[in-house]
Amino acid sequence: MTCLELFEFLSEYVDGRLSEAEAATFQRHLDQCPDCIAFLNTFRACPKLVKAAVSEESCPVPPDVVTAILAARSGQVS
Amino acid sequence: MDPQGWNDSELADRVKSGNEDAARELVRRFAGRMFAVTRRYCANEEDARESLQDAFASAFRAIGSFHGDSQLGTWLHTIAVNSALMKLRRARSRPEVGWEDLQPQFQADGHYSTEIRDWSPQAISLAEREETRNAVRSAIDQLPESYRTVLLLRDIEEWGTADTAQKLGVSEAVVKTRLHRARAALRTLLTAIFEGGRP
Repeated sequence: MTCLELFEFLSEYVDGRLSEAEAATFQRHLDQCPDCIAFLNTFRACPKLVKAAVSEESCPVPPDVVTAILAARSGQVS
Repeated sequence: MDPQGWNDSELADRVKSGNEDAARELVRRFAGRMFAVTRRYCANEEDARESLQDAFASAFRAIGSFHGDSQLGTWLHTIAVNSALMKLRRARSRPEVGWEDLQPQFQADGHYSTEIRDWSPQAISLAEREETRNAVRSAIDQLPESYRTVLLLRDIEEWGTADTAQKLGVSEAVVKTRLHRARAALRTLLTAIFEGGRP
């Protein structure tokens, strides 16, 4: 298995969608390839960083947007 | 009773009955969270604002169909995601940053063309810092919309492949391909951030 071939199936590996035999082939390559271990670790880190970046529970809503929402509501009701 | 004292079920019932205080409380209680959602998907602040307004318009129209099968916040979150997806469908496409350049490069023998460094421990330790979050959000914004949307739906909203495919009107194979390419592209963008000494 080459680094390119491992990369092509990396999402399946990370998502646990490889068969046991395929995962074992992956692991044999990882055991001897520092570049692929480094790539895998950074690939796995990305969703964690994205979740941390978008995990704000709330964003301040501009007052004019709130006004527009409630005005539209009044229009809907009437 | 002060509207802020109503639980979500009481609030929903009062909105259904046309109570204006309840409508204002619904906005006060949930707009911030919903705005975070629309900002996540939309390309710019203006689209995010409009999407938020559209989401609340949809919510007020559909409140009669809310029967408490899910949490009110979850129901509104879904409406916000769908509103943002609709906004994306209508938006003009943005110029794409050298898309193929964002994929890793390989030599003819299948090895990486450049040295691969593991910046993940440092990055994870900085993940909660505002500078890091801003830099990561900027990287997300650089992804082509169709790939960014799949990344967000799969890795953040944690929708399954089948649900994502159905919502976007594409095949599951397309979802899997776009997700893989989006993850790889994001990694490239984040590598430039974390190896460049930022944030």
